Amino acid sequence: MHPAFRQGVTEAVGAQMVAMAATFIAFGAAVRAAGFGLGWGLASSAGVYGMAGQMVLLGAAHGAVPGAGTAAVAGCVMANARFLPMAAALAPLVRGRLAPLCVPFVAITPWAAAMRRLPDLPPPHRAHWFLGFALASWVVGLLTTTLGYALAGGLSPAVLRLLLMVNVLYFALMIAAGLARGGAWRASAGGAVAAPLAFLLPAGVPPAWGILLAALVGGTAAFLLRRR
Amino acid sequence: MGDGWGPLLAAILLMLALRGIGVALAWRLPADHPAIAWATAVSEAALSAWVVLALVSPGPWPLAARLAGAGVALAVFILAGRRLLPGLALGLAAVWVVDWLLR
Repeated sequence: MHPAFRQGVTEAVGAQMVAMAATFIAFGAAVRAAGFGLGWGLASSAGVYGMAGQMVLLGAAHGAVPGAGTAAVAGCVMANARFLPMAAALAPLVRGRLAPLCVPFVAITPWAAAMRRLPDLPPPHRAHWFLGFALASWVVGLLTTTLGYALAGGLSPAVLRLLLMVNVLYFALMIAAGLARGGAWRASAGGAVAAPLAFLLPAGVPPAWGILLAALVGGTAAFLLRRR
Repeated sequence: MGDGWGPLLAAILLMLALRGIGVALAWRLPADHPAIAWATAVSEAALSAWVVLALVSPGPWPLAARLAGAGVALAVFILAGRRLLPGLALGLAAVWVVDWLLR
C-alpha cells in the first residue's frame, strides 16, 4: 500500500468522518421510512454520493405524479451541480494515471479536505492520498447507510433531526478552518453574501438552483476581485 | 425494475458525467489557469452558500437554535485551538438546548 494512500485513510478518520456518518445514518433511516429497499439506499450512497442530491432523489423518485421521476433526476443533478466545478478545481492536483479513479469520489467531504491538504503534499503523492481519504469516506458512507436503515424506527425524530444538523455545522467549521489557514476567504465570503439571492427565485424553483446562483455570483465576484 | 430504480440509475450516470466533465475540462490546463481559479472560487462559494442557506432557510430546527449552534460551534472551535470535534459536539448541544428553551 502506498504510504500516501495509508496517510489519506488515516486522515479521513476524524471529525469529518463523524459528520459524514451522521448524515448517512439519517439518510439510511429516511430510505426505509420512504419505503425503499436497502439496495436502493446503498446504490444511491455509492453512485450519487452527494447528500443534497440523494435527499432530493429520495423525496421525489417514487411519486405517482407523471414525470415525477424526471423531475427527481433533474432536481438531483441541480442539487449536485457543484460537482462539476469541484472536479475541475481538483483535477490539477491529482493529475496523472490515477486521476480517472478519483472521478467517482468527488464529493464535498473528500473535496474540501483535499483542497486544503493536497497543496502541502508532493505532487506524486496527491492522487494516492485523495484515493485513500475518499475510499475510506465512501466505505463509511455505505456502512452507515446500512446502519441507518437497520436503526430506522429505533431513532427518535429529535435524534434524526439533530443528525441532519451535523453536516451544516461541520462544513461551517471546515470553512472557518480553511479561512484560519489563509484559504479562499473571498470565495467563501462571496458565497455567503450571495446566498440570500436564492430567496429571490420564483416560488416552485428547486432550492438547488439558489445555491448554484449564489455560487456563480459570489464565486465569480471573488474571482474577479482576486484578479485586480 | 422496481419503483424508483429508473430515476436512481439515471441520476448515478449523470453524477458520473458531471464529475467526469469537470475533470476532463481541467485535464490539460495548468493549475494556475484562470479557468481553474474561477472553478475553485465557484465551488468554495457553493459550499459557503449551502451552509448559509441551510442555517437560515426554514428547517426542522428553529432559526435561533440553528444560529446559536453555529455560533457556539465556531466559538468553541476557535477557543479549543481550531479543533473540529469539540466545536461540532458543543454546537449540536447548543442547537438542542436552545430548541428546548424555546419550547
